[in-house]
Amino acid sequence: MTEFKHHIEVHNLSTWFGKFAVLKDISCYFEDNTVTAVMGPSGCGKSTLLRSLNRLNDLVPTFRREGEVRFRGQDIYETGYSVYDLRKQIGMVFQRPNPFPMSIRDNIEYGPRLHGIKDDDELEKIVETSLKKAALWDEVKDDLEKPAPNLSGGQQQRLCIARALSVDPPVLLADEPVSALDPISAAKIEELIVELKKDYTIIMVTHNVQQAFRVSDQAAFLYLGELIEFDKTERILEAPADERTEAFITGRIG
Amino acid sequence: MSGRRESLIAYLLSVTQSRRHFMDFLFKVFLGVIILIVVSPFFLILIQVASIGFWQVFGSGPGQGIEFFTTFPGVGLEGGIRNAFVGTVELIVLASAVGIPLSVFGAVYITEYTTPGWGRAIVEFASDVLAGIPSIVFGAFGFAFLVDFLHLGMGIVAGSLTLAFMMIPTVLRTTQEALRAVPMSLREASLALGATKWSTTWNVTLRAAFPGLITGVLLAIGRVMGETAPLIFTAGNSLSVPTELTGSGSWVASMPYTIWAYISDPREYLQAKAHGTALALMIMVLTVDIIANIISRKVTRRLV
Repeated sequence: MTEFKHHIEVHNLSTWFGKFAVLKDISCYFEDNTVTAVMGPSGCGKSTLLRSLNRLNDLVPTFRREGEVRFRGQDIYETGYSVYDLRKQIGMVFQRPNPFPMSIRDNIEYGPRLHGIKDDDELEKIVETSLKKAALWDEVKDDLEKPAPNLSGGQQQRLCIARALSVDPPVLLADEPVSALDPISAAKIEELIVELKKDYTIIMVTHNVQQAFRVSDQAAFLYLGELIEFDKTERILEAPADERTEAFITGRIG
Repeated sequence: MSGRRESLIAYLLSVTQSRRHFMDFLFKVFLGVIILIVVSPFFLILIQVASIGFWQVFGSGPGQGIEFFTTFPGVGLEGGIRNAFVGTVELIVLASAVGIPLSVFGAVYITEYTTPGWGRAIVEFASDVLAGIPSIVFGAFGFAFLVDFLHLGMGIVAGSLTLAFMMIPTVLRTTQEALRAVPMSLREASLALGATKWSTTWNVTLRAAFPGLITGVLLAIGRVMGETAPLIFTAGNSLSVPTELTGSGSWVASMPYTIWAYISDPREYLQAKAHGTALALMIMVLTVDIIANIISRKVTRRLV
């Protein structure tokens, strides 16, 4: 086992889409059992950073990178590193709820089944614990066979969180998980994220400063692909060290 | 009643009020006439075919109704069309068994596994051109390539393969459209759980695309069901059903071919049988189209 301090560490990461440089020499780490907010104005590379952590950027043919992303001390871009095992360890929740066009139960069972769990009792237990962790169990426990796309937007997003938790990943990525939801659903999901950090390392992209303040413990501020600040959220928001951070917090850029 | 009449009079008065009102009214009438002309062929064909063939299909006399489909033509073609009905069903089943997997997996490869570029453009261009080729050309190709060059001979194999070729462009392109309509984020959600590309494609993407895919498949089936030209040179004809896969025992009749043969026959009583067959074929194609329609309407409800 390789020695490591944090589940995920980023070392001098630069990325390009074609000739366009998106991230420029980024180094940071994500403290275990905390929520890290990745903030910044639109187009600053927040999502690209997040997607570099589970290699989802590999889907883009023109994607190129330099530098390392270490998961448990091992570079995930190393030749021979299994991207499928990596993604089992790093769950992801997307901007818009994206349940599979299947029943609620099948949505949750999909991941565990992929990784070889076939026992019905075990799957049953996973469905229940995942939905409970995502605070959805009480609302859907009698409707597990109903199609997931029939749920409300907020419920769908919590289902997606439950789906991500179904394979029990230590790390959870969230790409603006509440920006497509109504305020009440959004508040529920924020609460849920704070609750989940007891057991998971959560990295959340957001362009909402208040949300970062409410939810996160540490924060990274990105601007035009550069990591401007990386520290405790409170410190960044109360006393920004860089004027660009201040401009973002006060709403002058965004 | 008088209320409606009064409002009609009021309407006509307003129409004659000015030149602009009148032109507006005239255009409305014009469009109404156009739409009558547009839909009339369907009803005229239906009436013409049904007026001669209706009792063949729905009557209860000897050789009519269900008997029309269950008896062979026999001596002097005085019996039913069991050979053609069974032949068409067999041809369609075989053509689908070959054509659908080829086109669906072809579409999957082109849409999911390649990036936009030359390769994809060539395949799309080729299948678009293929879709526009007249069916008689498929028949001629089937004869030259399958029957002659590959020595398959006429019969059910060459006939259904020719139909399969005809299905490919339609099914390929509609499958492509259905796959493209699946939101990228569904694929990403699956991949982010550690799924392989194939697992994602099979369990998520194709599943989400299924309603659109099945619509294309059914439309293609409906289309080739009524094709005569590709079968003339490739399927042969038979008064019975095929018993072998090659040789003269594999010759097979089909409903469109039978319609053509019976209508061009001088014997008067074959006219009713030809029109009965035509009516049955129309009903079959219509049924397939209606099923396709119902499924395609469900698409919007099932996707996010």
